[in-house]
Amino acid sequence: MASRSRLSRNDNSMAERRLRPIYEWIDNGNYKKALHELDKLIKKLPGQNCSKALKSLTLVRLGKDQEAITLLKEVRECKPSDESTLLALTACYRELKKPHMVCEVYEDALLQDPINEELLSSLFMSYVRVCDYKKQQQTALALHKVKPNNPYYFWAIMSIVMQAYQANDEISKRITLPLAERMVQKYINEDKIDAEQEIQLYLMILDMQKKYKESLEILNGPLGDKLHRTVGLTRKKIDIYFELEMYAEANSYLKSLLLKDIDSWIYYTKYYDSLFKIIESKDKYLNCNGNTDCLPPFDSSIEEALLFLNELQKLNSEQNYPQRGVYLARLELYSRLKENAYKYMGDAINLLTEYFKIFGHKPCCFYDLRPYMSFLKEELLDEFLKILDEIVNLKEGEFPKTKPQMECYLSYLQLARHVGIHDLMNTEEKLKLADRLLRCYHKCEIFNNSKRSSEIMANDTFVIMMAHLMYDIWVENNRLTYIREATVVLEYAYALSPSNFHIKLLLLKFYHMLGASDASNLAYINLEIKNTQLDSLGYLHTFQMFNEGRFQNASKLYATTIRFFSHNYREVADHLTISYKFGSFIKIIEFVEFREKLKYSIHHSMCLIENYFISLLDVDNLDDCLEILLKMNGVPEIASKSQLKKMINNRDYSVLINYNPPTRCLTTEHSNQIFSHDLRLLEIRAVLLSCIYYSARMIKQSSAQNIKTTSEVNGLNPDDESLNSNDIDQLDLHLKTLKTLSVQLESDPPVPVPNSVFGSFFGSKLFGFDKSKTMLTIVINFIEFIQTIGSDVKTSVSTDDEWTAKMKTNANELTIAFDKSITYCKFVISKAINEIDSSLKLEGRKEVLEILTNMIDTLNISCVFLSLATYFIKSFQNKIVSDPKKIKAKRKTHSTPYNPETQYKGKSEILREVVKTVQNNTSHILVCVKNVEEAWTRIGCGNSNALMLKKHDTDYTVNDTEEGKEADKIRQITADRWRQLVDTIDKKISDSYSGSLDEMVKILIKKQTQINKLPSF
Amino acid sequence: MTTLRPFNCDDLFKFNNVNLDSLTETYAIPFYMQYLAHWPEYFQVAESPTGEIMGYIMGKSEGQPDSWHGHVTALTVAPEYRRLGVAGVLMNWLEEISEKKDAWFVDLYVRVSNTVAISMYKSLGYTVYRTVLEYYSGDPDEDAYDMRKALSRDVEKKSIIPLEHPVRLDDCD
Repeated sequence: MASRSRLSRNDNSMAERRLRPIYEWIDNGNYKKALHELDKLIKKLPGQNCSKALKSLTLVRLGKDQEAITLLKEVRECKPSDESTLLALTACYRELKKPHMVCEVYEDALLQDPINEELLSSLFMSYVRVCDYKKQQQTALALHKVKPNNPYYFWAIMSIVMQAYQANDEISKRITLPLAERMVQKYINEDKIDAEQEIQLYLMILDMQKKYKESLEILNGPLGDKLHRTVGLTRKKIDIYFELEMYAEANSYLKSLLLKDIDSWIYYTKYYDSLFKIIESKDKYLNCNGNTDCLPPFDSSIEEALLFLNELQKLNSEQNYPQRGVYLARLELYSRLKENAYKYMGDAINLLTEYFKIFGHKPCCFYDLRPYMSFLKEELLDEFLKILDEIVNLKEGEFPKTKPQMECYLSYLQLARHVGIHDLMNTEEKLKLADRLLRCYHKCEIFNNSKRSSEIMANDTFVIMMAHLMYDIWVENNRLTYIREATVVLEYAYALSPSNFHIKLLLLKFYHMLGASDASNLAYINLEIKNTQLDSLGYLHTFQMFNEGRFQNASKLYATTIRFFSHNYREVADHLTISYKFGSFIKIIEFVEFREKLKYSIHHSMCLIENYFISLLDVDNLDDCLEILLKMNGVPEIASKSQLKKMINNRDYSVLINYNPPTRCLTTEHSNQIFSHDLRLLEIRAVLLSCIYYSARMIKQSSAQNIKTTSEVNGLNPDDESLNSNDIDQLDLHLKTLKTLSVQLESDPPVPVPNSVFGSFFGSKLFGFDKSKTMLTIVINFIEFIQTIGSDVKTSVSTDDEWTAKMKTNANELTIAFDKSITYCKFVISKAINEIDSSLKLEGRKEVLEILTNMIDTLNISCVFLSLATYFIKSFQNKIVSDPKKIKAKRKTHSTPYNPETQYKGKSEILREVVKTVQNNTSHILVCVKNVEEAWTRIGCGNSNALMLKKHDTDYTVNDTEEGKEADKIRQITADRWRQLVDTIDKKISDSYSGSLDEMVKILIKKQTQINKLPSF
Repeated sequence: MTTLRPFNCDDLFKFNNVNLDSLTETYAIPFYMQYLAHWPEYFQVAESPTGEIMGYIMGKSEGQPDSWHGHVTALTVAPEYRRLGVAGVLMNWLEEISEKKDAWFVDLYVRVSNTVAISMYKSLGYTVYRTVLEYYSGDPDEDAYDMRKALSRDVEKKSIIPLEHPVRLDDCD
């Protein structure tokens, strides 16, 4: 016995020694080497679970999931409980995205060692990762039994709180939360509380039960003293006062807080909230005020509030430099008083002017005053702008002489734009203003005292506003040449102020408007968007590239985005466990919700779906195509209504800066509208892809039935055979949904957010579908076609004839729909390449690119279906050739007029026709693309003497003679540089078009190859 | 005109107007979460009256008992809200928390070329404690100033006596 245990110890130490380098190889990605060594080790010590677990991990990393799972099963059967094996298993299951299996691993391990604290703690954390709150609670209590300490006890309490959080019904909340409360109460009574996090958790439990009075008692009692390090108690106290409707206390408390911190906005707003509540029910407070025994002093009228504001103002003026707080607080009060405001506070103009005089030269001025500009109507507005104009003090044609003057002027310009002054101008006036802004921009370059490239230049705002004006003109007359000119100016400014991300964002947007994919991609790269920004800002770029024909760039970004999501979903789980370890209970619900936001981000699902489509684009042979298709098992889940309902929009629409009037800003309604478009698009694409996926499964299995040796069908488990009818049903179901969605597109077409609303331009691909509805018709016919071809006549009641008829109908519909699409496509193209007016050269280019990519998308899907159909027909053919006798025998016994040979003949004939249709249309589109490329290269981007810029040059020489030769020289350089820049930008745009069209040609040739490579039948 | 509130996970989707700034790094999610889980009180947002993120501070408390201190990991303010004292308000917050945690001092690292930030920190009472060579990787690498401000616990202000010679990153504690 003794010798045996020594032996196994020896074995262990040997294994340990030999495993050490293996860990390193795995860590360094040297999986082949690791695998080799592990195999040797397993041969020598077959009882060693750890090496097997590590081998599984290596296999997972090598993408051999199936092998890994088999080996894992073997290890699991031994119910290992040693740390290194458990860790390897944990890593394995996490990478296989099966975190619930980790729970099982530890459950098994505990069977052998039920009171092992380490194992229990790991088990607890594994439940945390899968959000199994009930089991968390049980495990925490078990831990507490093994080692009675506070952390374990409070883990259990937090787990109960999470159950209440998860429960939707009030009843279970009414049971679970009091239990949690009692558990804390018990520790309080026994004087066992020792960490402030524990009291935080207690407050949270009271909060969730709306027991505000109790919370207040805690805050004011001895336990509150323990919270001396906890932050945010002030806010909590304020909230509790409001919940308990203790407005006088709140008011008095807020007054004391404001006297200490005169610039805290939340205190002002809460102070007003309490003030108006008190005024509302004045009678209640009438007898109390001033009586210190009853209540601390509080304000109960507007007059008192105004006096209080004066007091704060006095404090403000005693400071080294005045803060904005009190000034904005007055405006806020004015806003809350509504129609009574004048009575108490007089003209709003005075308040606004007062603020502007002090803070007009700060960039925040516009953002601060924006919410209050609606006070001023018509004449008052004119009067206000006149006052501002006087403060800015610039005569007609004059340029700012100091930096503060420039900044004041900018604030004035921003406010004027916001109140709609620009919208009243005609195109000529807008151009004149744009020109003026541009000259101001140049003149004010001298105020950029810091030339550091990391700083945003002070004069950039002129250019940004100019770009917005050009956008306005485009909205008015739809001429993209103004957008092109704006890009030139923006590029100029970008070169001087490479850190200004607003300029980069505008460039990104404007280049996309032109359909210049590569140019916008460059702007995107310069923005250095990463991590969460992939989700919140991805909408600016991700899906545009596909629509512009830059499939590879799109594919890269999809992959990056998908990696971000899947990686972080796991990582967030880690931090949930950390929160338990540190007792940061207040963050746990937040982390859980954040994880959901990542999981159900619509951007994530859209990238997943589009990435599948793009991976099919890159395929030029049948086997690869089938392999990709059969891996799409996650798609139907995305397409399900239940999943679509959970989708969340994490986009940040506020990042695109503008100074527009409220009617031309993106509102919540707009963003909901955009979100609903994306949901519709996602559903169409996911349902379509599900149809493709189920078609592939169905075809694979019907073909397998045709081949005699069906035991092992590549990619499908043998037991999946029985799913055949399920696949057919699913295909049917998804096809029905697709048809409904297609009809809805017609009956309830998506309404885009108007272009005048800035930030709305990135229209969804849904509009592409809407414009060329025939494409969905093509796809639907293809699915029906495949449905008929792949389903076995034996199982259906139809006769051969009915069948052939059905297929023929679909084939004919396909031809017609293709014809229509091509005609439409050619129509759009001819509009865009036969433009004589040079200022209209850029019109419709984006639309051309979109229609072409839509066609390519449709052809791509068509090729997939052709591949599937051919795959089936081929197997059918083999069947007939290999076993003619058996078939003949079968034919005799069959009651319906079933004839495989005629069936084959009928099916293959029609299929050949369809192949030809797709072949022809691919060639048509190829010709279209080449025509477009030839035409665009020939006509260029526009006239190289850009309208506005040229005018700008001449104006310079007329107006600025007094500045002498030196200035002339600089101007000359500037003018030359501008001309150069115009050429550079034009080339950049042209190159982008050629890049897109070249890639389209490549893909189309690939699709031709795919069709040509189809086995003959 | 500032409202301070705790930074929360949702802000990771909304802080673009601050984070697109070229000197502000957008870290991977785990980095932020580590701070949120470990030092939630040290991670605060300054919000504008309209609810925009004007800036934020991310920090922690660390060190041996004799050098226990608050550390500023990131401090950033959106371009349109600069020169308003927002950074000062945020720094003040971090110092107060560090005081509550009985820290000796607060420290931070800043690029030696970032004169704007350095003079701001100086105006808030920070002094250069030492230079850390090649602290910021890049092309080329850049040195950092380790700047410190003593808190009330350090009555004799021993923690901020400047070192005579620059140190390498490996020698930093």
